[in-house]
Order: sequence, then structure tokens, then C-alpha cells
Amino acid sequence: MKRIAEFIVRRRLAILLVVAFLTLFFGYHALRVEMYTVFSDLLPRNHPYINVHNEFRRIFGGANLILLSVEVTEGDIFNFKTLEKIKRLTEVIELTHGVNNYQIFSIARQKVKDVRGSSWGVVVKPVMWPDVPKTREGLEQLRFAVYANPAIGGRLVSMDGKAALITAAFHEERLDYARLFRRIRKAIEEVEDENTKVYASGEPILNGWIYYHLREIAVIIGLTCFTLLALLVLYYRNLNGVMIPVISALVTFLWGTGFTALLGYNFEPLVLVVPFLIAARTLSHSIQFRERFFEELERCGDKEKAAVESASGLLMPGSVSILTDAIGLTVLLVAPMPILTKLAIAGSFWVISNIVSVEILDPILCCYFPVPRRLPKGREGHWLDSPLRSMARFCTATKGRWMVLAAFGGIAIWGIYWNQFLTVGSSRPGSPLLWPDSNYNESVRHINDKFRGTDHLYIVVKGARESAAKSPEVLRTIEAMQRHMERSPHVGGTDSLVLLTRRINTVLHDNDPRWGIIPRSAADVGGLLSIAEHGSEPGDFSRWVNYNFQHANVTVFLRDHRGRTIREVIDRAKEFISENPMSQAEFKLAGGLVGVLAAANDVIESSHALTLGLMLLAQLVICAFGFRSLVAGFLFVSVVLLSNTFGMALMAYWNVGLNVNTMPVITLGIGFGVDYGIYIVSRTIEEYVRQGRQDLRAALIEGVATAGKAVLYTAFLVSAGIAFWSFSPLRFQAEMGYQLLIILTMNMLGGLFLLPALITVLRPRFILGNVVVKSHAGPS
Amino acid sequence: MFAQVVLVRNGFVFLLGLVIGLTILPARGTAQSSGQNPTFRENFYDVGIHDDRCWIVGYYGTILHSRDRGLTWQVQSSGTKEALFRVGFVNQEKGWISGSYGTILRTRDGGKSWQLQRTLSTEHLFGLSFLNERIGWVVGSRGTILYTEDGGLTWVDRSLGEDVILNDVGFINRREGWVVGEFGRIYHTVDGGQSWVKQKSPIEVSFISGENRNLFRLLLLRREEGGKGLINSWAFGLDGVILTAQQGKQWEVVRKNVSNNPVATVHHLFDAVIFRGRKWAVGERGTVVFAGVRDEEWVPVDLNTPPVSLNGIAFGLDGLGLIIGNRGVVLRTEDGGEKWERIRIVPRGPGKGISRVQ
Repeated sequence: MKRIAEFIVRRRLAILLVVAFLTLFFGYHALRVEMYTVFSDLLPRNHPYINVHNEFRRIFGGANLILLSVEVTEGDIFNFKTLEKIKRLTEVIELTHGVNNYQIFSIARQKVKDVRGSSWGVVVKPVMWPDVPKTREGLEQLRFAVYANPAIGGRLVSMDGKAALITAAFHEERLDYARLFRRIRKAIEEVEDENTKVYASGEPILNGWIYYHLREIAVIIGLTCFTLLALLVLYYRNLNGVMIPVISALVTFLWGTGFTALLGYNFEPLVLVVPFLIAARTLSHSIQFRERFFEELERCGDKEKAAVESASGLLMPGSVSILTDAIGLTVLLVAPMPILTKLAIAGSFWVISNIVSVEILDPILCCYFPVPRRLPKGREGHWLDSPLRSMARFCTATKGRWMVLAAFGGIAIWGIYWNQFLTVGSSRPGSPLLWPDSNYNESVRHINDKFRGTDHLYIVVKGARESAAKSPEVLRTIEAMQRHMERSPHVGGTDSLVLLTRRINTVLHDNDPRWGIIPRSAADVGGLLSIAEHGSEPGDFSRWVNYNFQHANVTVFLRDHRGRTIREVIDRAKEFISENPMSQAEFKLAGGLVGVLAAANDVIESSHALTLGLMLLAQLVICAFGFRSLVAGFLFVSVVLLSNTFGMALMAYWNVGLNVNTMPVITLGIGFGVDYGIYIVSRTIEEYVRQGRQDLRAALIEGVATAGKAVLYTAFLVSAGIAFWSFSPLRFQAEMGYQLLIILTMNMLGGLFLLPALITVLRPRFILGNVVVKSHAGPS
Repeated sequence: MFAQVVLVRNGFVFLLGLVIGLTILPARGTAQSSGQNPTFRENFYDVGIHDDRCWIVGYYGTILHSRDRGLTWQVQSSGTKEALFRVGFVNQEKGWISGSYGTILRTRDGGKSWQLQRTLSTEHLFGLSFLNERIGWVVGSRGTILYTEDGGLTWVDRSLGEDVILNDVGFINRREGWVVGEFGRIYHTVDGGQSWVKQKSPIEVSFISGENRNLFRLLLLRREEGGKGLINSWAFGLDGVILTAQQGKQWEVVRKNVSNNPVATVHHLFDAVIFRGRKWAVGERGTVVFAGVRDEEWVPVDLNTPPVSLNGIAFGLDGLGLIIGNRGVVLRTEDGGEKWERIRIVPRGPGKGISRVQ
């Protein structure tokens, strides 16, 4: 290690120029990176649900659905003024870029019709198209038409008459969410008044809100950066201590962003916490170097020598830490989701770049920056020194160590207990990304109160041949499935071709409700549907069946998309499918937003354990290799595992679900967790060797007092930065902030308390003998 | 030294155990199943009340039963998924139900168990009438008329041989009865259904006219116990038409269907009943009308319900009355129809529901 350190310092100008050139190169490309959400990035690759979703989304509608509920406070919607507003909003949606025109439903649409059998034949007319009724009689007729038709009453108009729903599906190909959101918001503002309120929900609206809050998030990021800078200035009060960590963080940022752009990836607004975390870790590594550098400088008085000594002492633990950090992101590759794959590749590179920006660049910059006139006090002179030593003495004392182990044991038991309640997927109704009182979540609540459910699950009935969907056997099985699904308390209702067939049968028999049954032969079903087809327009049937009646769709309306809800509903569907095979068709799970989320949850659930296992294995191997000891590996991994368990338990306790957004942040937090321990143990070994291998306890106290000081400071620095995220307009970011704070704090406590206690109990050989840190014998 | 070795070994085992223990976390709880019952939100087609006991039948083999004047309900197992159209009880124990695709169910124990009867018919059986616990008729699509004289164990086919939908049947004794149905047709028999004579119907149209004059319900007012024959009869049908015939002979229109108005606001009438000197009829889009037994001035009743189809009405002891309809609609009265309350049957345990006033 020393030779490498000497090489870096000796060839510093050449290396600096190469790094500067590469930074310029990445910086240039960084300018091209864009921030937007790609819906398809959330879809797991090759998952059977996603295959079904992709195959049928153009026919039956995708997951990009918006719902607008026009609600009145006084009276009901059956008045000219309110109906005009519904019509206006419907027209705005019809003319919005990216909308699937066959998948817009509103009472103001031509395809929403009143069909009635009377003495004079079947009367078919749109309920409110092209004009809004103006007379009292016309309005009453509209009310009757709405409630007489179960496809309208309760679905497009609430049963209490106070709300009308407009739903529209949008194409998924790079939809401009921000633009769409602005357009819808403008239209809503135009129609809202003291008696009329419009509630909007659906994925495009949710994404729109996230974009809407980006400016506030930028302010938070700015405040975070300013605070970090202020803390650095307050702590070091010299150019070297402030500027070098900032330069390191900046270089890492440019490298990471540039690499992201080079790969053609985008910045996902929701995972903005991840780049921030990486930058925070860069600062953390750099501060470790700062502390060591000033210590060495105080000892030898020569900055080049101090740079070499610091680099040789920290190259191994620093590189091991950075590698484990990177592994934390790389293992996300096992989850076959584009968003996680992108994060794994770009993020790993970003983290690895710390080897250059900190481990290589910091010693070089130290040589170029002037020596501070007044060095920060290290060792005994520092105000933190005494409390850290007292704490280390307590943790390594006979009674103290057992007390520490008992305390952490208690935390482990609490963590294991709460882990069983961890939800995969969303854990709350509405969107967990936003606060409960946010406009979006309030809208979801209102729409769910008035209508049968805002979240759609599509179960596709894939026919073996043309007209399979006309088979009474298929229709009866679909109906049985609908009834089976409706037994779930999470299901607000269902819809399928069965309802249409029964409705047509009723209408053709003079509206006699007893004829609302499925005909017994395929010919009879075909006859009914062909009559209905003649009176319809292209796309009228597309929510139920494809053009040649081969494939059909069962829509299940869910009251929320919580992980538990989705699992229960999908399990219920699977149970029915396995018990009710059909000869002419088969049920295929699953499309719509719920189908997509079910696939994502599936992948998260199956890959989470694997991700964690791989990450721990990698940490075990890297640490075992770095310290040439399996026990060392287990020692670090046990601390990480403990903080992970505690972190997951906190998620369950706070009712935060494990999903595509939270998983990378948590994985990263865990990956970062091992760093603190590595620095402390590495320094302990150095001290033990330096003190002639006489007193393990003294070495531990010294290790905690020196490396522990940097650990404490960096933990405080990161925490202070993260604290601002609690003011985020996005609940997700605030909660992830808390979560990371807790995990990183746990790791810090594990490093400062648990590791010394464990080491005094276990007295591992990798510390006591077979010295591995050969590069540096410790300052004398 | 030995103690230290043991400690180190134990420590390694401890670490290994900690790692494994924390990795293999407890399995998550399984998804919970629920007791939401779609039966209570079903399309109900008919209601029968005998004293305090009530039965509601409907789509997908639905049978609901109440022993306490409609306050609490139990799902009775019908053993079929066919739609059940009509229910009739001659006492608290013995009753019958007719349904789609030739379904006839019989019970001898108040519905605790229902037996499927063999009829050899696959037609929809819309009308059902039992004179006593042995003799009864059912009618249905394609002119189907079935007759039993052993309480439904065996059925004799006395169909018309015409492709006409018959919606209702009524007999005043074992020989004389009427059947009403599609095209406004009315058939009369005086020989227990062995032969049927088509009566002159003032609204009848031919098949090729393209119009329809369906009659859904027949209401017969018999003389009091001990008397003989029929006092009056009514037939209810499409677009709110009501026919009447003194002693069931000369049928005339007492309430017209709306003239050539394609957006008729008078709606079909699907069921009718006589109770305490009043005739009641219910029908399409929330329609409820009543009139005195001896006059034909039909008064609409605004029950403030959603305009769903109301398909059945029945009265029982002490003014108890029920109106049922599509999408689980149930209206209940305790005072013979002066005041109606809409109730919703909400699940309360498996197969059980409780009426909650909305």
C-alpha cells in the first residue's frame, strides 16, 4: 500500500492532469443528462404479468390511467352548470397529447349510451352527447338514464349523484408527465368554483405532482449542500479541510452524472436521494482522509510525507469500504427491473469513482493545498477525544461489554419481531410517495369514497381461437371469477363482457331484468353481440374484448394498491384460475396498474432476500480478503445485518413498504453501513501493532478515539444533511431520510459500541496475531 | 486458555448464528380472506312473504330467507347457479321456485333444503302458481306450460306449441286459469290447462309488426273464502300498460302505454299485488304505483330510490311489505305501504346478513 501511496504522490501532476481531463470529459456529458420518469423502467423484464400487460395494453388499456372526479358540495351534478364543466373537462382530455381515444369514459362521451327496450323497439342514444340538457325534463331523463344503467350509475356517476368520473388511459411511450399535469391542472382550475371541486388521481397525475414539487426539492438539495459546506467550514476552518472534500464530491458528481448520460440513462426524480447519498459518502471518505492527514501532519510536519502516510494507512480500508458501497448497488442487478438495473450500473460506477476522487485525488490535492496555519487538534487535544475514550473504555470493560451486547441483542429481537410485518409494495392507501394530506391522496380518498375503486387490475382471458369469448362456458367462468373476486373486501367491483352480454340480452327482451342471463349457446351469444356491434362505434367494446372476440378482459377495481391488497387479490385470482380450467381459453395474469405493481412486488420480494444475501456475501468476501480473516468478515457482516434488521423493522413499524423506490435506498444504506466498522477496526489493528501487541483494550480505545472521531463527525455531517429531507413535499423522500438516518446511526453505533465489545469478547486472531496491515506499521 | 478457546469458538458460532438468524427472517403473514358476499348485492327477481317469513330469490341461484320480518337474513343454499325468477309458498314449510333453463326447486322445510326437480325442460320458467301443496303450474319461454299434481315431484308438459314467451300464470281453481306473455297475449283455460284459448287482447300485436306488447304480470282477485270464481283480473306490462277484465273475460286497457314516443317516461311494470284494499305495482327504473282495488286511478309513489328495476313486491302479516329489485335493492314497510324504508342487507358472518336502513 505504501508503494502505491508513494507512486501517487510522486506522479501527482500527471495523475492530476489525467483526472482533470476525465472530469472535463464526464462533466461535458453530464450536461446532457435529463430528469424524467420512464414508466416502462418500472416494469420487470420477462415477468409473465408484464408480458401479458405489454401484449394487451393497447387493446384493453394500460396502467397510465387518470381519473378525474367532478364533485359538488351542494345539490347534485344534474344541473346545466356542472354538466357543462364535466363536458369541458372531457373535451380537454380528448384533445390531450398521448391519450388513447378509445379508452376515455365520461357521461359526456358519445359512446356512453342509454339503451332501453320499449314497445317501439330498442332505443339507443348517448346519455349526454353532443349537448348538455338544459330543461328540467331533460335533466331528469339524464338522471334516469344514468341510474338505470349499471355501467354508468355507480361507475361514471356516484350513487349519491354528487360526483361524476372521467377516466382516460394514456399511451405509455415517454409520456410528458409534466406537460400533461400542467394541462389537466389548468383545466381543473378553470372549472372549479365554490360549489365544484375536481379530484384527480392516477399514475400520470402522481408523476405530475412529483414534477410539480421538483423546485422545492431543488431548494432542499441546495440547503443540504449549504449546510454540509457550513459544517465543514465550522469544523476545519481551513482551505484544505473544506475545499478538498468539496472537490472530491464535485468530481464524483461529475463522473457519475457524465457516466449516466453516456449510457443514455435518465435521472429518476424519486431516486434523487441516491446521488445525494453517494455524494455524502464521498465527503465521509474524504473526511476520514482529512482527519488522518492532519494527524500525520501534526506528527511529521511535512505535507507530502503526511499524504503518503495517510494514503498508505487508508488505501486498504478506504478501498474495501468503497468496494462494499459499490457492491450494495451492483447487487441490484439481480432484480430484473430497468430502473434498478440503471441504478446498479450507473450508481456502482459513481461509487467506484470515489477511489479516484478520494483515495487518489485527496493525497495529491493535499500536496498542492497550503498547510493550514493552525492544525485542527487531533488525539488528546480534541474535545471529542475524552468522551470517545470513556465510551470505548466502557464498551471494553468486563461488565460494560456484556451490557452493550445485551442492548444490541434487545434491538435484534425487536427488529426480528417487527420484520414479520414488513410489507412488500405500498403500505398505505393512496400514494405512499406523498403526504396523507396532499392534494393527490385527498383526491384518491374522495374518488374511492364515491366510486368503486381507483386502481385497476386486468385479468386477460386468452382465447384459443377466434370468437372464444362468445362461448357460454368461457362467459360463465368469467362470471364465476368476477363473483369470486368480489368477495374480497379489497375489491370495489368488476367488469367484463359478461355484464355487456347480460345487458344486451335484457334490452333485447324489452328491458325485462330476468333476461339478464348468459345465453346457453355460442350462437345466441354471438347473435346478441353482433346486434350490439351494429349499433356501436369502433373501440366501444375494446375495454372488454378484442376485435375478433378471441381475447377478453376482466377488470377488477381495487380500493387501493397496497402490497397486502395486491397479494390477496392476486392470490385469490390464482386460486380461482387453478380450480377452474377452461377448454377454449385461459386466464392470464395480469395487466393494468395493479398487474404492473404485482409484478414489481413479486420481483422485489423474490430478489430482496437474494440482493441482501449477495450483498452480505460480497461484504463478507471483501472484508475477509481485506483483513485476511473469515471472522473479520463475519464480524462486519453481523453489524451490518443488525442495522439492516433494525432498518427493516423500522419500515414495518412506520408502515413503509419495501418497493421499487425504497429498495435501492435501503440497499445503499446497508452497503454504506460497513464503512464505519472497517475504519475503526483497521485503526485498532494499527494501534495494536504499534503498541507492541500488548494491550488489545488500549488499541481499541485508541482506534475508537481516532477513527471513531471521523466516524462520529461524518455521521453527524450526513445526518445534518439528511435532516432537511424531512421537509420534503414528498413523503417518500422524508421517510427515506429518516430511514437512512436510522440505518447510518445504527451502523455508527455498531462501529463505536458493538464492534469494540464483540472484539473484546471474541479476541479474534486477525487482530491479535497474523498481522495483515503490512503497509503501515503505524506512526511512531 | 481453554476458557478463551471456548469463548472464541462460541463467539464464532454466535456470529454465525446471528448472521443466519437475522437473514432468515420470519415468514410474512398470509393474505386474509374475507366475508364480502356478492349475494346481498345481486339482482333480486321475486319476493315471497308467508306470515312473518320472507324469501327473496334472484340471479345466480340466490335465495335469501328471513324469519323476523326482514330484519336479519340467511343465505339458503339453492344448489344451482341458475337465475331464480319466482318463488311461491303455500305455507311456512312448503314452497317452490322457478328459474332459468328449466330450473324448479322445491322445499318441504321452509327452505332449509331445496331439491332440484326434474322437468325435462330447458326453457326459462318465469311464472309459477300453486293452488295448494300438490297442484301447481309453471310457465316460461317458447310457450312452455308445466303442470304438477304431486307437489312438483313430476311435471306434465302442457305447452302451447308456439314460440311465445309466457311470463305469468294464475289459477282460481284446479280447472280455470290464465296465462299472459309476449305480444300482449292472454290465454285462458277451463279444463286445468289441457286446452288453452287465446283471449282477445286490446294491445296484442303480431310478430311482424316490429312492435312489442309484453305482459309481465297477472293479478287475480278471487272471491273471499267460501265464495266461488273471480271478481276481477289485471295484467301489467310494457311501458306501464295495465289491462283489466271483469271476471277475466273482456280485457280492456285501463292505463295506456305511452303513444309513439320513443323516449317513454312511463316504465314497464313487472310485478303487482293486492293488499288491504290497494293494488300495488312495481317496475322499471324505480317505478312504484298504487290504486284502490275498485278504481283505476294509479298514483305514482316517490320512494327516492335509484331508478333501478324493481322486480317484485309482496305483503304479509301486520302490514309487513317488501319491494325488491336489481342491484340488491330492498324496500321495507311495516305499515302496509304508508312508509317505505330502503334497507341494505349487509354481511354479518358467513351466509348471514342484517338489514340496515339507508
